[in-house]
Amino acid sequence: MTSKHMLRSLVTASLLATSLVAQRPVPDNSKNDPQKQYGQMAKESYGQPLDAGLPTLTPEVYRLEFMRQLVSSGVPVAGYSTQIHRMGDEAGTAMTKILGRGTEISAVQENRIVSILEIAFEKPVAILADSNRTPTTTLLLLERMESWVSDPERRDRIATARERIIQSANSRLK
Amino acid sequence: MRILVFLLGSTALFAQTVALNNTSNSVLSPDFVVGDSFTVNISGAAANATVSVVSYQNGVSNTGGVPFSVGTTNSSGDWSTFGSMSASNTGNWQETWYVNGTQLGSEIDFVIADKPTALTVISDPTVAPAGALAVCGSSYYGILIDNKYQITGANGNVSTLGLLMTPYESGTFPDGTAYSQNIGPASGYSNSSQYAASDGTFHDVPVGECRTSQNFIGDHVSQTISINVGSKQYQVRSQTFTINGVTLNHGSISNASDIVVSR
Repeated sequence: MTSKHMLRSLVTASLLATSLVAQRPVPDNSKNDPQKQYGQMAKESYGQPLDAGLPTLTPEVYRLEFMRQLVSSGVPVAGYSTQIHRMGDEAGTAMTKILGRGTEISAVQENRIVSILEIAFEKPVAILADSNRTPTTTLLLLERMESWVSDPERRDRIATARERIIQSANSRLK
Repeated sequence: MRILVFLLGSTALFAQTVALNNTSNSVLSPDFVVGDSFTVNISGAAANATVSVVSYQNGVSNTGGVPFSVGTTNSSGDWSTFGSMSASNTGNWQETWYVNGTQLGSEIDFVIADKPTALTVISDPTVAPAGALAVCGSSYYGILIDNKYQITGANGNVSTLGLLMTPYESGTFPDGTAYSQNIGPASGYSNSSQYAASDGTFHDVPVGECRTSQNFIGDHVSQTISINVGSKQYQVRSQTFTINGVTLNHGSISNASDIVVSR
């Protein structure tokens, strides 16, 4: 709490102290004691009214953030299968947005993305929107990912996922 | 309207639809936190027909695995119901809805997470490891600690069940300056993150005060912690820390309750 951004101050104490005093309404006593950490909250929210409330969220933004968190964190993605099962091709759309054009990802993140896309189609009866039952964007993304990867093992993993997703989607259509 | 479209599981032939909505925290739909209100809306189905549902809570059917009648559509083929989620409803759910025995749309999978009501300190807050940034350092007076909390609710420890739960804090510093912000992530602390872990735990780190020019006794920092879920905020703890930094690289911090640490 009080000292989160003090860490930074500890690393670059004198530089930060100068800039913080200049940029924000730091209390007078902090001018005399620039290392007083509670007075050096460098958050954008500094001074924000306590009743400012939560930022406006839309369901789409929430789900995009949910997917971003799944990719970036180390939590087992299988624990989030209820939410992922509902998405179907929306998972592929979300991942495409997260990755953007030319975004580099680690092998671990790549594996997490592939796993999430597989889960998104492993229970077709739970996909809520008709438009998400066909893995159009998901397969395009997997094709792109496969083209980025040179390691044969990783390429094989992606190719296997593509096959599974196609089979799963076809089973729903029958 | 966009939410409704997302939730619609429809069969094209009759355009009959069923939608489960969270009407008090729509961002989460069709997931819920205990206390949230819900609606089930069926439209475009057969007129004056039996509405039934098969539901499973945590893998166990509370309808005996067969459709359970809950009502009758009107002359337009519409039906709806509403209510709110109670603590006994927590867990993973699967529901399949029928009208006259014909399935409507997709199976609806959703979660009902327990409502965050409090925090417990699940480990003794220890002074941050020597050499880490959290230590005030040999030229500072004061103390920094790492508080690990467990979110609790009516059913005990809260599991997030896949919902994004954001620990949030507000309060005042000793000089009266107000602050309000997400508790994590704190740069330099690998155990600090924006969202609570799936088991409902999170770290508030670093907590404390360091001064370089003079020692201090009896500084007070107030802190109110909330858990933000979707567009709702659940206040779970309010406390005031008393912090002392009597000698260099030493201090104490206490909320006069379950967090009392000295170094």
